[in-house]
Amino acid sequence: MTGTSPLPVYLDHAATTPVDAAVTAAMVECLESPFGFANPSSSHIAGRQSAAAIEHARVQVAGLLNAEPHEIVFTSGATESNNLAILGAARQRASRGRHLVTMTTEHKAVTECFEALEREGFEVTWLNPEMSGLLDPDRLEAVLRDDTQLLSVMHVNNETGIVQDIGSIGAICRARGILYHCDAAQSAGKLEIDLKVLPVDLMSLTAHKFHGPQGIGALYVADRPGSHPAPLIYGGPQERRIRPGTQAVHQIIGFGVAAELAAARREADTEKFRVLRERLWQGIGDLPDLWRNGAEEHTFPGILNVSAGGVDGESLMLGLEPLCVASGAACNSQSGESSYVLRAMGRSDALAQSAIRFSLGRGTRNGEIDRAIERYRWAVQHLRALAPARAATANRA
Amino acid sequence: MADPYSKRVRAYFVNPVHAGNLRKSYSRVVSATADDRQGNTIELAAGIDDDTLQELRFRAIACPHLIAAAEHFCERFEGRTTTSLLEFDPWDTVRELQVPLGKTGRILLLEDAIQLLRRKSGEPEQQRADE
Repeated sequence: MTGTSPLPVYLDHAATTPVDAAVTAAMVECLESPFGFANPSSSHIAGRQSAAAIEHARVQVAGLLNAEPHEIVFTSGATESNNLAILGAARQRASRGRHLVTMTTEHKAVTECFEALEREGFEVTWLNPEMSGLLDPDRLEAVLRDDTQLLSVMHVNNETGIVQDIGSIGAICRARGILYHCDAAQSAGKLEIDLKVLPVDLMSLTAHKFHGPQGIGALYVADRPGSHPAPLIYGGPQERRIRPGTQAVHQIIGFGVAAELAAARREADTEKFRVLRERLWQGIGDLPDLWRNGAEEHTFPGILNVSAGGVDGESLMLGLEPLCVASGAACNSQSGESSYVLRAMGRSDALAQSAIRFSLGRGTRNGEIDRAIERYRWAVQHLRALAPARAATANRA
Repeated sequence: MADPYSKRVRAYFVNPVHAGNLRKSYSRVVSATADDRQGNTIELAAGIDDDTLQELRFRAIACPHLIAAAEHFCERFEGRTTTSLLEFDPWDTVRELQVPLGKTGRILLLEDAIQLLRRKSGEPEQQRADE
Protein backbone atom coordinates (compact mmCIF):
# COMPACT_ATOMS: atom_id res chain seq x y z
CA MET A 1 0.00 0.00 0.00
CA THR A 2 1.79 3.08 -1.20
CA GLY A 3 0.75 6.65 -1.77
CA THR A 4 -0.31 5.92 -5.32
CA SER A 5 -3.06 3.43 -5.99
CA PRO A 6 -1.61 0.31 -7.56
CA LEU A 7 -3.46 -1.29 -10.44
CA PRO A 8 -6.08 -3.79 -9.27
CA VAL A 9 -5.43 -7.46 -9.87
CA TYR A 10 -8.84 -8.79 -10.82
CA LEU A 11 -9.41 -12.33 -9.55
CA ASP A 12 -13.16 -12.11 -9.04
CA HIS A 13 -14.46 -13.61 -12.27
CA ALA A 14 -17.09 -15.66 -10.42
CA ALA A 15 -18.71 -12.30 -9.59
CA THR A 16 -18.52 -10.98 -13.13
CA THR A 17 -16.22 -11.02 -16.13
CA PRO A 18 -15.01 -8.30 -18.48
CA VAL A 19 -17.02 -8.09 -21.68
CA ASP A 20 -15.16 -9.63 -24.61
CA ALA A 21 -14.22 -7.15 -27.34
CA ALA A 22 -16.11 -9.18 -29.93
CA VAL A 23 -19.23 -9.00 -27.76
CA THR A 24 -18.89 -5.24 -27.36
CA ALA A 25 -18.42 -4.85 -31.11
CA ALA A 26 -21.58 -6.82 -31.88
CA MET A 27 -23.62 -4.84 -29.36
CA VAL A 28 -22.32 -1.50 -30.61
CA GLU A 29 -23.04 -2.54 -34.19
CA CYS A 30 -26.64 -3.21 -33.21
CA LEU A 31 -26.99 0.05 -31.30
CA GLU A 32 -25.44 2.10 -34.09
CA SER A 33 -27.23 0.45 -37.00
CA PRO A 34 -30.00 2.64 -38.44
CA PHE A 35 -32.82 0.38 -37.28
CA GLY A 36 -31.11 -1.68 -34.57
CA PHE A 37 -33.47 -0.09 -32.08
CA ALA A 38 -36.55 -1.59 -33.71
CA ASN A 39 -38.98 -3.50 -31.54
CA PRO A 40 -38.65 -7.20 -32.42
CA SER A 41 -42.40 -7.63 -31.89
CA SER A 42 -43.22 -5.15 -34.66
CA SER A 43 -44.30 -6.71 -37.93
CA HIS A 44 -42.55 -4.20 -40.20
CA ILE A 45 -39.24 -4.90 -41.88
CA ALA A 46 -37.13 -3.20 -39.20
CA GLY A 47 -38.90 -5.14 -36.46
CA ARG A 48 -38.40 -8.37 -38.36
CA GLN A 49 -34.67 -7.67 -38.58
CA SER A 50 -34.50 -7.27 -34.79
CA ALA A 51 -36.50 -10.45 -34.35
CA ALA A 52 -34.13 -12.30 -36.68
CA ALA A 53 -31.15 -11.07 -34.67
CA ILE A 54 -32.75 -12.38 -31.50
CA GLU A 55 -33.45 -15.75 -33.06
CA HIS A 56 -29.86 -15.99 -34.23
CA ALA A 57 -28.69 -15.32 -30.67
CA ARG A 58 -31.14 -17.89 -29.38
CA VAL A 59 -29.49 -20.48 -31.63
CA GLN A 60 -26.07 -19.45 -30.30
CA VAL A 61 -27.16 -19.72 -26.65
CA ALA A 62 -28.94 -23.03 -27.27
CA GLY A 63 -25.76 -24.30 -28.90
CA LEU A 64 -23.83 -23.66 -25.71
CA LEU A 65 -26.10 -26.13 -23.90
CA ASN A 66 -26.89 -28.46 -26.81
CA ALA A 67 -30.52 -27.48 -26.40
CA GLU A 68 -33.14 -26.55 -28.95
CA PRO A 69 -33.50 -22.81 -29.62
CA HIS A 70 -37.16 -22.80 -28.65
CA GLU A 71 -36.15 -24.10 -25.21
CA ILE A 72 -34.30 -20.84 -24.45
CA VAL A 73 -36.25 -18.05 -22.71
CA PHE A 74 -34.37 -14.77 -22.41
CA THR A 75 -34.48 -13.05 -19.03
CA SER A 76 -32.55 -10.27 -17.31
CA GLY A 77 -30.07 -12.67 -15.72
CA ALA A 78 -29.69 -15.70 -13.51
CA THR A 79 -31.52 -14.18 -10.56
CA GLU A 80 -34.62 -13.65 -12.63
CA SER A 81 -34.22 -17.08 -14.24
CA ASN A 82 -34.02 -18.70 -10.81
CA ASN A 83 -37.10 -16.81 -9.63
CA LEU A 84 -39.01 -17.72 -12.77
CA ALA A 85 -38.03 -21.37 -12.58
CA ILE A 86 -38.64 -21.91 -8.88
CA LEU A 87 -41.63 -19.68 -8.17
CA GLY A 88 -43.13 -20.42 -11.57
CA ALA A 89 -42.73 -24.18 -11.43
CA ALA A 90 -43.88 -24.49 -7.81
CA ARG A 91 -47.02 -22.44 -8.45
CA GLN A 92 -47.72 -24.20 -11.76
CA ARG A 93 -47.61 -27.60 -10.08
CA ALA A 94 -49.16 -26.62 -6.75
CA SER A 95 -52.31 -28.59 -7.44
CA ARG A 96 -50.22 -31.77 -7.70
CA GLY A 97 -48.28 -31.24 -4.49
CA ARG A 98 -46.60 -28.61 -2.37
CA HIS A 99 -43.36 -30.27 -1.28
CA LEU A 100 -40.11 -28.82 -2.63
CA VAL A 101 -36.44 -29.67 -2.06
CA THR A 102 -33.25 -27.65 -2.28
CA MET A 103 -29.86 -27.29 -0.59
CA THR A 104 -28.71 -24.88 2.08
CA THR A 105 -25.64 -24.03 -0.02
CA GLU A 106 -27.55 -22.60 -2.98
CA HIS A 107 -27.16 -18.98 -4.05
CA LYS A 108 -29.46 -16.46 -2.35
CA ALA A 109 -31.29 -16.09 -5.66
CA VAL A 110 -32.48 -19.65 -5.06
CA THR A 111 -32.78 -19.89 -1.28
CA GLU A 112 -34.82 -16.70 -1.02
CA CYS A 113 -37.27 -18.04 -3.64
CA PHE A 114 -37.84 -21.10 -1.49
CA GLU A 115 -38.23 -18.96 1.62
CA ALA A 116 -40.88 -16.97 -0.25
CA LEU A 117 -42.65 -20.20 -1.20
CA GLU A 118 -42.59 -21.34 2.44
CA ARG A 119 -44.45 -18.14 3.29
CA GLU A 120 -46.97 -19.09 0.60
CA GLY A 121 -47.59 -22.41 2.35
CA PHE A 122 -45.23 -24.71 0.46
CA GLU A 123 -43.17 -27.17 2.46
CA VAL A 124 -39.45 -27.06 1.72
CA THR A 125 -36.86 -29.65 2.69
CA TRP A 126 -33.42 -28.06 3.01
CA LEU A 127 -30.56 -30.49 2.42
CA ASN A 128 -27.10 -29.91 3.85
CA PRO A 129 -24.10 -31.03 1.84
CA GLU A 130 -21.54 -33.55 2.95
CA MET A 131 -18.32 -32.12 4.39
CA SER A 132 -17.05 -32.25 0.81
CA GLY A 133 -19.77 -29.84 -0.24
CA LEU A 134 -21.38 -32.51 -2.41
CA LEU A 135 -24.96 -33.68 -2.17
CA ASP A 136 -25.31 -37.31 -1.13
CA PRO A 137 -27.76 -38.90 -3.63
CA ASP A 138 -28.98 -41.31 -0.94
CA ARG A 139 -29.96 -38.41 1.30
CA LEU A 140 -31.75 -36.81 -1.60
CA GLU A 141 -33.70 -39.98 -2.36
CA ALA A 142 -34.61 -40.32 1.30
CA VAL A 143 -36.40 -36.96 1.44
CA LEU A 144 -38.33 -37.22 -1.82
CA ARG A 145 -42.05 -37.89 -1.41
CA ASP A 146 -45.06 -38.59 -3.57
CA ASP A 147 -46.04 -34.93 -3.38
CA THR A 148 -42.55 -33.57 -4.15
CA GLN A 149 -42.79 -31.36 -7.22
CA LEU A 150 -39.49 -29.57 -7.61
CA LEU A 151 -35.82 -29.93 -6.74
CA SER A 152 -33.31 -27.13 -7.22
CA VAL A 153 -29.60 -27.93 -6.92
CA MET A 154 -26.94 -25.77 -8.54
CA HIS A 155 -24.23 -27.06 -10.87
CA VAL A 156 -21.14 -25.14 -9.67
CA ASN A 157 -21.21 -23.44 -6.29
CA ASN A 158 -20.48 -19.73 -6.58
CA GLU A 159 -18.31 -19.61 -3.44
CA THR A 160 -16.39 -22.87 -3.47
CA GLY A 161 -16.57 -23.98 -7.10
CA ILE A 162 -17.81 -27.41 -6.00
CA VAL A 163 -19.38 -29.23 -8.95
CA GLN A 164 -22.48 -31.26 -8.21
CA ASP A 165 -23.21 -34.43 -10.19
CA ILE A 166 -26.26 -32.98 -11.91
CA GLY A 167 -26.62 -36.04 -14.14
CA SER A 168 -27.22 -38.34 -11.17
CA ILE A 169 -29.35 -35.77 -9.35
CA GLY A 170 -31.50 -35.20 -12.42
CA ALA A 171 -31.91 -38.94 -13.00
CA ILE A 172 -33.29 -39.39 -9.49
CA CYS A 173 -35.84 -36.65 -10.13
CA ARG A 174 -36.82 -37.83 -13.57
CA ALA A 175 -37.45 -41.36 -12.32
CA ARG A 176 -40.01 -39.90 -9.91
CA GLY A 177 -41.57 -37.30 -12.18
CA ILE A 178 -40.09 -34.42 -10.16
CA LEU A 179 -38.98 -31.28 -11.99
CA TYR A 180 -35.28 -30.58 -11.68
CA HIS A 181 -34.06 -26.99 -11.80
CA CYS A 182 -30.35 -26.29 -11.95
CA ASP A 183 -28.74 -22.90 -11.38
CA ALA A 184 -25.88 -23.01 -13.88
CA ALA A 185 -24.81 -19.38 -13.51
CA GLN A 186 -21.26 -20.45 -12.64
CA SER A 187 -20.95 -23.36 -15.06
CA ALA A 188 -22.63 -22.31 -18.30
CA GLY A 189 -19.95 -21.27 -20.74
CA LYS A 190 -17.27 -22.87 -18.57
CA LEU A 191 -18.12 -26.56 -18.28
CA GLU A 192 -19.57 -28.77 -20.98
CA ILE A 193 -23.34 -28.97 -20.59
CA ASP A 194 -25.28 -31.29 -22.90
CA LEU A 195 -28.98 -30.97 -22.24
CA LYS A 196 -29.74 -33.69 -24.75
CA VAL A 197 -28.12 -36.03 -22.25
CA LEU A 198 -28.54 -34.38 -18.84
CA PRO A 199 -31.97 -34.93 -17.25
CA VAL A 200 -32.52 -31.27 -16.39
CA ASP A 201 -35.88 -29.58 -16.86
CA LEU A 202 -35.02 -25.98 -16.03
CA MET A 203 -31.59 -24.35 -16.12
CA SER A 204 -30.60 -20.78 -15.28
CA LEU A 205 -27.71 -18.99 -16.89
CA THR A 206 -26.39 -15.46 -17.29
CA ALA A 207 -24.17 -13.81 -19.88
CA HIS A 208 -21.92 -11.75 -17.65
CA LYS A 209 -20.28 -14.77 -16.05
CA PHE A 210 -18.68 -15.67 -19.40
CA HIS A 211 -17.63 -12.35 -20.88
CA GLY A 212 -21.07 -11.26 -22.01
CA PRO A 213 -22.95 -8.15 -20.91
CA GLN A 214 -24.67 -7.74 -17.55
CA GLY A 215 -28.47 -7.60 -17.51
CA ILE A 216 -29.18 -10.51 -19.83
CA GLY A 217 -29.63 -14.20 -19.09
CA ALA A 218 -31.77 -17.13 -19.98
CA LEU A 219 -33.87 -19.89 -18.57
CA TYR A 220 -33.73 -23.19 -20.37
CA VAL A 221 -37.17 -24.79 -20.30
CA ALA A 222 -37.09 -28.39 -21.52
CA ASP A 223 -39.55 -29.23 -24.24
CA ARG A 224 -41.21 -31.83 -22.07
CA PRO A 225 -44.77 -31.97 -20.74
CA GLY A 226 -45.05 -30.26 -17.36
CA SER A 227 -41.77 -28.34 -17.57
CA HIS A 228 -43.26 -24.92 -18.19
CA PRO A 229 -43.23 -22.55 -15.23
CA ALA A 230 -46.08 -20.13 -14.70
CA PRO A 231 -44.98 -16.61 -15.70
CA LEU A 232 -44.14 -14.14 -12.98
CA ILE A 233 -45.20 -11.15 -15.08
CA TYR A 234 -47.83 -10.65 -17.73
CA GLY A 235 -48.15 -8.38 -20.70
CA GLY A 236 -47.42 -9.91 -24.06
CA PRO A 237 -46.52 -12.90 -26.21
CA GLN A 238 -42.74 -12.47 -26.03
CA GLU A 239 -40.60 -15.43 -24.97
CA ARG A 240 -43.53 -17.80 -25.35
CA ARG A 241 -45.49 -15.77 -22.76
CA ILE A 242 -43.21 -17.24 -20.09
CA ARG A 243 -41.34 -13.93 -19.88
CA PRO A 244 -43.27 -11.17 -21.61
CA GLY A 245 -41.91 -7.71 -22.33
CA THR A 246 -39.94 -6.12 -25.16
CA GLN A 247 -36.65 -7.95 -25.55
CA ALA A 248 -33.36 -6.05 -25.18
CA VAL A 249 -32.03 -6.74 -28.66
CA HIS A 250 -28.45 -5.51 -28.25
CA GLN A 251 -28.11 -7.35 -24.93
CA ILE A 252 -29.35 -10.57 -26.47
CA ILE A 253 -26.99 -10.17 -29.44
CA GLY A 254 -24.09 -9.76 -27.01
CA PHE A 255 -25.23 -12.81 -25.08
CA GLY A 256 -25.28 -14.86 -28.28
CA VAL A 257 -21.76 -13.85 -29.28
CA ALA A 258 -20.47 -14.52 -25.75
CA ALA A 259 -22.07 -17.97 -25.83
CA GLU A 260 -20.46 -18.81 -29.14
CA LEU A 261 -17.05 -17.62 -27.94
CA ALA A 262 -17.39 -19.55 -24.69
CA ALA A 263 -18.22 -22.75 -26.53
CA ALA A 264 -15.21 -22.32 -28.79
CA ARG A 265 -12.78 -21.47 -25.97
CA ARG A 266 -14.11 -23.62 -23.14
CA GLU A 267 -11.53 -26.39 -23.29
CA ALA A 268 -8.60 -24.02 -23.61
CA ASP A 269 -9.94 -21.82 -20.81
CA THR A 270 -10.45 -24.78 -18.50
CA GLU A 271 -6.94 -26.06 -19.06
CA LYS A 272 -5.55 -22.60 -18.41
CA PHE A 273 -7.57 -22.28 -15.20
CA ARG A 274 -6.24 -25.63 -14.03
CA VAL A 275 -2.62 -24.53 -14.51
CA LEU A 276 -3.14 -21.09 -12.92
CA ARG A 277 -5.05 -22.45 -9.93
CA GLU A 278 -2.31 -25.00 -9.29
CA ARG A 279 0.29 -22.22 -9.46
CA LEU A 280 -1.72 -20.22 -6.94
CA TRP A 281 -2.22 -23.14 -4.57
CA GLN A 282 1.45 -24.15 -4.82
CA GLY A 283 2.34 -20.59 -3.88
CA ILE A 284 0.26 -20.37 -0.73
CA GLY A 285 -0.59 -23.95 0.27
CA ASP A 286 2.43 -24.32 2.54
CA LEU A 287 1.20 -21.59 4.91
CA PRO A 288 0.27 -23.22 8.24
CA ASP A 289 -3.37 -23.60 9.27
CA LEU A 290 -4.63 -23.02 5.73
CA TRP A 291 -7.83 -24.78 4.67
CA ARG A 292 -8.82 -25.46 1.09
CA ASN A 293 -12.61 -25.26 0.83
CA GLY A 294 -13.53 -27.86 -1.75
CA ALA A 295 -11.29 -30.69 -2.88
CA GLU A 296 -9.43 -30.22 -6.15
CA GLU A 297 -11.17 -33.17 -7.82
CA HIS A 298 -14.64 -31.82 -6.98
CA THR A 299 -14.20 -28.17 -7.87
CA PHE A 300 -14.35 -26.09 -11.02
CA PRO A 301 -10.73 -25.19 -11.86
CA GLY A 302 -11.48 -21.49 -12.15
CA ILE A 303 -12.16 -21.16 -8.41
CA LEU A 304 -9.90 -21.58 -5.38
CA ASN A 305 -11.45 -20.93 -1.97
CA VAL A 306 -9.16 -20.93 1.07
CA SER A 307 -9.59 -20.13 4.75
CA ALA A 308 -6.78 -19.15 7.11
CA GLY A 309 -6.93 -19.81 10.84
CA GLY A 310 -6.08 -16.94 13.16
CA VAL A 311 -6.96 -14.03 10.88
CA ASP A 312 -9.98 -11.75 10.54
CA GLY A 313 -11.64 -11.86 7.14
CA GLU A 314 -12.16 -8.13 6.78
CA SER A 315 -8.59 -7.37 7.72
CA LEU A 316 -7.44 -10.06 5.31
CA MET A 317 -9.39 -8.36 2.51
CA LEU A 318 -7.74 -5.03 3.29
CA GLY A 319 -4.34 -6.66 3.51
CA LEU A 320 -4.88 -8.23 0.10
CA GLU A 321 -5.40 -4.93 -1.70
CA PRO A 322 -5.05 -4.36 -4.65
CA LEU A 323 -6.31 -7.88 -5.25
CA CYS A 324 -9.97 -7.98 -6.24
CA VAL A 325 -11.24 -11.17 -4.63
CA ALA A 326 -14.34 -12.22 -2.70
CA SER A 327 -14.53 -12.80 1.04
CA GLY A 328 -16.59 -15.02 3.30
CA ALA A 329 -16.45 -12.37 6.00
CA ALA A 330 -19.62 -10.95 7.50
CA CYS A 331 -18.64 -7.44 6.43
CA ASN A 332 -18.80 -8.70 2.87
CA SER A 333 -22.37 -9.90 3.14
CA GLN A 334 -25.50 -7.87 3.49
CA SER A 335 -26.86 -10.38 5.99
CA GLY A 336 -24.04 -9.60 8.40
CA GLU A 337 -23.18 -13.28 8.67
CA SER A 338 -20.12 -15.18 7.53
CA SER A 339 -20.40 -17.53 4.56
CA TYR A 340 -23.40 -19.81 5.09
CA VAL A 341 -22.06 -22.10 2.38
CA LEU A 342 -18.86 -22.82 4.28
CA ARG A 343 -20.66 -23.17 7.59
CA ALA A 344 -22.99 -25.72 5.98
CA MET A 345 -19.87 -27.64 4.98
CA GLY A 346 -18.85 -27.79 8.63
CA ARG A 347 -16.34 -24.95 8.75
CA SER A 348 -16.23 -22.94 11.97
CA ASP A 349 -17.53 -19.39 11.91
CA ALA A 350 -13.97 -18.11 12.26
CA LEU A 351 -12.76 -20.08 9.25
CA ALA A 352 -15.82 -19.10 7.21
CA GLN A 353 -15.03 -15.45 8.06
CA SER A 354 -11.49 -15.76 6.79
CA ALA A 355 -12.40 -17.44 3.50
CA ILE A 356 -11.12 -15.87 0.30
CA ARG A 357 -12.39 -16.87 -3.11
CA PHE A 358 -9.97 -16.41 -5.98
CA SER A 359 -11.75 -16.82 -9.31
CA LEU A 360 -9.82 -16.83 -12.54
CA GLY A 361 -10.72 -15.54 -15.96
CA ARG A 362 -9.82 -15.92 -19.58
CA GLY A 363 -7.44 -12.97 -19.35
CA THR A 364 -5.72 -13.92 -16.07
CA ARG A 365 -1.94 -14.05 -16.41
CA ASN A 366 0.86 -15.79 -14.53
CA GLY A 367 2.13 -12.46 -13.24
CA GLU A 368 -1.23 -11.72 -11.63
CA ILE A 369 -1.19 -15.08 -9.89
CA ASP A 370 2.30 -14.34 -8.60
CA ARG A 371 1.15 -10.98 -7.23
CA ALA A 372 -1.80 -12.74 -5.59
CA ILE A 373 0.57 -15.22 -3.96
CA GLU A 374 2.81 -12.44 -2.69
CA ARG A 375 -0.09 -10.38 -1.30
CA TYR A 376 -1.85 -13.35 0.30
CA ARG A 377 1.32 -14.53 2.03
CA TRP A 378 2.08 -11.03 3.29
CA ALA A 379 -1.46 -10.43 4.54
CA VAL A 380 -1.80 -13.74 6.40
CA GLN A 381 1.64 -13.44 7.98
CA HIS A 382 1.07 -9.79 8.91
CA LEU A 383 -2.25 -10.53 10.62
CA ARG A 384 -0.96 -13.60 12.40
CA ALA A 385 1.93 -11.58 13.75
CA LEU A 386 -0.68 -9.31 15.39
CA ALA A 387 -2.80 -12.12 16.81
CA PRO A 388 -2.73 -13.23 20.45
CA ALA A 389 -1.37 -16.76 20.61
CA ARG A 390 -4.39 -17.93 22.63
CA ALA A 391 -6.91 -16.58 20.14
CA ALA A 392 -5.00 -17.84 17.14
CA THR A 393 -5.23 -21.35 18.48
CA ALA A 394 -8.90 -21.05 19.41
CA ASN A 395 -9.72 -19.86 15.92
CA ARG A 396 -8.92 -23.19 14.37
CA ALA A 397 -11.75 -25.48 13.26
CA MET B 1 -19.11 2.57 -2.64
CA ALA B 2 -17.03 4.92 -0.50
CA ASP B 3 -13.75 3.67 0.95
CA PRO B 4 -14.62 2.54 4.50
CA TYR B 5 -11.03 3.06 5.66
CA SER B 6 -9.55 6.50 6.31
CA LYS B 7 -5.89 7.22 5.51
CA ARG B 8 -5.02 6.97 9.20
CA VAL B 9 -6.75 3.60 9.53
CA ARG B 10 -4.86 2.33 6.52
CA ALA B 11 -1.55 3.65 7.83
CA TYR B 12 -2.02 2.13 11.30
CA PHE B 13 -3.22 -1.13 9.79
CA VAL B 14 -0.16 -1.56 7.61
CA ASN B 15 2.37 -0.44 10.19
CA PRO B 16 1.13 -0.98 13.75
CA VAL B 17 4.35 -0.24 15.60
CA HIS B 18 2.81 -1.08 18.98
CA ALA B 19 1.72 -4.58 17.97
CA GLY B 20 3.45 -7.44 19.76
CA ASN B 21 4.96 -8.05 23.16
CA LEU B 22 6.52 -5.70 25.69
CA ARG B 23 10.16 -5.27 24.85
CA LYS B 24 11.61 -4.34 28.26
CA SER B 25 11.04 -5.32 31.90
CA TYR B 26 9.12 -3.10 34.26
CA SER B 27 8.29 -2.99 37.93
CA ARG B 28 4.69 -3.80 37.02
CA VAL B 29 3.17 -5.45 33.97
CA VAL B 30 -0.60 -5.65 33.52
CA SER B 31 -2.62 -7.06 30.66
CA ALA B 32 -6.27 -7.11 29.68
CA THR B 33 -8.28 -8.94 27.04
CA ALA B 34 -11.69 -8.31 25.52
CA ASP B 35 -13.50 -10.28 22.87
CA ASP B 36 -16.89 -10.50 21.25
CA ARG B 37 -19.17 -13.02 19.55
CA GLN B 38 -17.97 -11.97 16.12
CA GLY B 39 -14.53 -13.37 16.87
CA ASN B 40 -12.79 -10.06 17.51
CA THR B 41 -10.16 -10.29 20.23
CA ILE B 42 -8.02 -7.52 21.61
CA GLU B 43 -5.25 -7.97 24.15
CA LEU B 44 -3.50 -5.00 25.77
CA ALA B 45 -0.30 -5.06 27.79
CA ALA B 46 1.21 -2.23 29.80
CA GLY B 47 4.70 -1.94 31.30
CA ILE B 48 4.41 0.40 34.29
CA ASP B 49 7.10 2.19 36.28
CA ASP B 50 6.20 4.84 38.85
CA ASP B 51 2.54 4.92 37.75
CA THR B 52 3.62 5.75 34.23
CA LEU B 53 2.61 3.68 31.22
CA GLN B 54 6.17 3.29 29.99
CA GLU B 55 5.24 0.91 27.22
CA LEU B 56 1.91 -0.15 25.69
CA ARG B 57 1.50 -3.06 23.34
CA PHE B 58 -1.45 -4.84 21.78
CA ARG B 59 -2.33 -8.02 19.95
CA ALA B 60 -5.55 -8.55 18.06
CA ILE B 61 -7.63 -10.67 15.76
CA ALA B 62 -9.84 -7.89 14.59
CA CYS B 63 -11.13 -5.76 11.77
CA PRO B 64 -8.92 -2.96 10.41
CA HIS B 65 -10.73 -0.29 12.44
CA LEU B 66 -10.10 -2.07 15.72
CA ILE B 67 -6.46 -2.72 14.87
CA ALA B 68 -6.05 0.95 14.00
CA ALA B 69 -7.88 2.03 17.15
CA ALA B 70 -5.60 -0.12 19.31
CA GLU B 71 -2.52 1.33 17.67
CA HIS B 72 -3.94 4.84 18.04
CA PHE B 73 -4.59 4.23 21.75
CA CYS B 74 -1.08 2.93 22.39
CA GLU B 75 0.44 5.86 20.53
CA ARG B 76 -1.60 8.39 22.52
CA PHE B 77 -1.23 6.93 26.00
CA GLU B 78 2.31 5.61 26.07
CA GLY B 79 4.36 7.75 28.46
CA ARG B 80 1.33 9.02 30.35
CA THR B 81 0.20 8.13 33.85
CA THR B 82 -2.08 5.22 34.59
CA THR B 83 -4.63 7.76 35.80
CA SER B 84 -4.78 9.20 32.31
CA LEU B 85 -6.52 6.04 31.12
CA LEU B 86 -9.65 7.60 32.56
CA GLU B 87 -9.45 10.12 29.76
CA PHE B 88 -9.92 7.54 27.03
CA ASP B 89 -13.09 8.36 25.14
CA PRO B 90 -14.00 5.89 22.36
CA TRP B 91 -15.80 8.66 20.47
CA ASP B 92 -12.52 10.58 20.12
CA THR B 93 -11.15 7.52 18.36
CA VAL B 94 -14.24 7.18 16.20
CA ARG B 95 -13.90 10.80 15.13
CA GLU B 96 -10.17 10.85 14.61
CA LEU B 97 -10.03 7.62 12.65
CA GLN B 98 -13.32 8.34 10.83
CA VAL B 99 -14.77 5.00 11.87
CA PRO B 100 -18.09 4.33 10.10
CA LEU B 101 -21.13 4.34 12.37
CA GLY B 102 -21.72 0.63 11.81
CA LYS B 103 -18.28 -0.12 13.21
CA THR B 104 -18.41 1.90 16.41
CA GLY B 105 -19.33 -1.24 18.37
CA ARG B 106 -15.88 -2.60 17.63
CA ILE B 107 -14.25 0.43 19.20
CA LEU B 108 -16.27 -0.21 22.37
CA LEU B 109 -14.46 -3.52 22.58
CA LEU B 110 -11.23 -1.56 22.89
CA GLU B 111 -12.87 0.51 25.62
CA ASP B 112 -13.68 -2.71 27.51
CA ALA B 113 -10.06 -3.78 27.32
CA ILE B 114 -8.84 -0.35 28.47
CA GLN B 115 -11.23 -0.31 31.41
CA LEU B 116 -9.96 -3.69 32.48
CA LEU B 117 -6.38 -2.52 32.06
CA ARG B 118 -7.18 0.49 34.24
CA ARG B 119 -8.72 -1.67 36.96
CA LYS B 120 -5.76 -4.02 36.94
CA SER B 121 -3.33 -1.14 37.08
CA GLY B 122 -4.86 -0.22 40.42
CA GLU B 123 -6.88 2.84 39.56
CA PRO B 124 -10.26 3.04 41.24
CA GLU B 125 -13.41 3.20 39.13
CA GLN B 126 -14.53 6.80 38.79
CA GLN B 127 -17.62 8.32 37.39
CA ARG B 128 -17.01 10.68 34.52
CA ALA B 129 -18.10 14.22 35.29
CA ASP B 130 -20.65 14.12 32.50
CA GLU B 131 -22.21 10.80 33.53
